[in-house]
Amino acid sequence: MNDGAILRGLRSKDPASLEKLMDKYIPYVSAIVWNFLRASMTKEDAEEVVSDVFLAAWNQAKDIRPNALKPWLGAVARNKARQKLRNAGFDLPLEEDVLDIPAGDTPEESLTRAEEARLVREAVDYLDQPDREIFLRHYWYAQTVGEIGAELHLNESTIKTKLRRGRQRLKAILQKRGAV
Amino acid sequence: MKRNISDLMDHIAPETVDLGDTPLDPQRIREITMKKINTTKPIRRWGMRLLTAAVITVLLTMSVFAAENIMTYDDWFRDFFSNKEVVADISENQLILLENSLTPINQSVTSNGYTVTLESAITDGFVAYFTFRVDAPEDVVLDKPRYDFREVPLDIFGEDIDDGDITIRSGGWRTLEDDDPTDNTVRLLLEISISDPEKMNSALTDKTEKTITLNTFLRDAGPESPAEIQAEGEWTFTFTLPDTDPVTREVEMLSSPVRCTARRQSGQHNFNIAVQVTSFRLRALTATLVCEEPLTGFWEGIMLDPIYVVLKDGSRVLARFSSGSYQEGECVSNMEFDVPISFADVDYIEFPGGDKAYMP
Repeated sequence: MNDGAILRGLRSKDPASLEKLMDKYIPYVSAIVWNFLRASMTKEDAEEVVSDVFLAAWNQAKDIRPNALKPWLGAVARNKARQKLRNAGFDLPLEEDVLDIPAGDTPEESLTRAEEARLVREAVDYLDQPDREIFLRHYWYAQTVGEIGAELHLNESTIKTKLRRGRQRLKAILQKRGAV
Repeated sequence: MKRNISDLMDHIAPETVDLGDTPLDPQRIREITMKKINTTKPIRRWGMRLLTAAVITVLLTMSVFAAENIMTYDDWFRDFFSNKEVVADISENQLILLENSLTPINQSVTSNGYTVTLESAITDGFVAYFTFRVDAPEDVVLDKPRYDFREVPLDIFGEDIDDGDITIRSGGWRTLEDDDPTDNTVRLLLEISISDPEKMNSALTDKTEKTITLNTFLRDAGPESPAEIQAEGEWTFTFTLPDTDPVTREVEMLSSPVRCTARRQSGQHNFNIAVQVTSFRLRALTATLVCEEPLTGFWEGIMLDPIYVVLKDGSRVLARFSSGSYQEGECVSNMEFDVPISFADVDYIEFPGGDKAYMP
C-alpha cells in the first residue's frame, strides 16, 4: 500500500491503515529512536517512544502530505527520542554536539529561526560526499562513528576528521550569519 | 551562545540511508500503539494546530513542536497552492520552502462585533499572500461559498501610493476550505502583488512597516447578484515582512538571450512574431522576464507564448503573466506561479520557440 493510501486511511481513522503504516515503517522509526536511546535506556523505553511516533501520525494524519510521510516520521522520531533523553537527564550520544556561536549584540542582530535553518541547510548542502552523508548519519540519524565507518568502509579517524570539518563549516556559516 | 548541532539539524530533510536492524520488538510496538489508540480521544484542532498535552503522553518542548510541524504547513496555503494541472503532488522541498518562509503575524482587530485576525503571510518581495480568519458574533453563521473585503491595498511607504508607475495590485480574495461551514468562522486568503518590479523589487521586504486596512465584509449573493454586505467595519493591521530567504532568493536562468515566439494582435488579426528574451530571474513565487523591444518598435498587442518551469519529475508549472512595464527599449514583466517553486525541484525553463534554460 503506498503512502497516499495509508494516509487516506489514517485520516478516516481506519485502524487497518495504522497497521499498514507500522508494517512499513517500524524498522525505520525504530532504528532512529534506538540510535538515540540505546546508550542510556532500555529497549522497552525505546519501544514506547516508537509507539508514540505512530500515535502522533494517527492523530496528525491530516497534516502530513503523502510524499512527506517518511521524512515526517523520521523528524518526529528524532525529536521524541531526544526529548525522552532530556527528560531523563541524559546526554545525546553524539560527538561534540555543542557549537559555541557568538550571539548578536542586539535582538535584531541575532538569527531568526528561519535564517538559522537556511544557513544550516546551506552548510550541509555545501559538504561534498561522503562528508555530507557522514554528517547526516551522525547528527541526524545518531549513528556512531564505528557504525558509519563500517557502513562506508572508512576508518574511525577519517570519520571523525570529516565530522570535525562539517562542524567547522557549520560554525563558520552561522558566525558569518550568511553575509556575502 | 551554545547550540546543539542535533537541534540545528531539525530542518534538514536527509536522504534515506540503511540504518540496520534493532533489538526492538515490532509486535510489542504494535500492541502498545493500538492500546494507546483505543484509550485516547482525538486531538481537537485549534487555529494554528497546537497539540494538547492531555492527549500526547510525552511532554512537548518547542523543538519537538517545531519538528512535528517541519513537514506540515499552513492548511490554507496548501489549499491555495494545489495546482490540479501539476501531475506530481507537492514535493518535500516545497513543503520545507513553505514551512520556513511562512511569517506568522497573528494580529486581531474587532470592529462591529467581527474579529478579523491577520494570521500569516508569505512573500518573495513581488507577491504576498496573507491569510485572515474572520470570527463573526456567535449567533452568526458564515456559510457562503465566498467572502471578501473591500480593502486598501498594502501601504508600503506609510502613505497611500499610486503614482502611475508603481502600483500595488490586489490580486483578490479567496475563501479557503472550511472545516465547519455551520459555525461563525471563515478563513480567507488575500493576494497582493507589486507591478513595475524593477523599481519595487524589495519594497515588500525592506523591513519597514506595512499597513492593510479592510472595510466592509462582503458575502456571496449568488452568481446573478452583486455581493451583499455582511458587516460594516474597519480593521487595520500594521506589520513588517521579513526577507525570508529562500523564498526571496532568485536565480538568473539565462546566460544569453533566447528567441521566443509571440503573437501580436491587431484588430481581428493575429500575427506570429518573435521577441528576444534577455533575462528570466526565477524566484519561489514569481519571476521577472525582460524582453528587448520588438523590431516593429512598438509593444501594443504583443503577448508571449506560454513559458513553463519544468520540474525534475516531468511536471510543468505555467509562468502566468501578472504585470509589466516598458522602459528604455525593454519590457519588464512580472510572472506568477500557481505553486511555490523550490529550486531543488527545477530542471529547466521551457521558452516558447524551443529553447531551454537549465538551472545553473
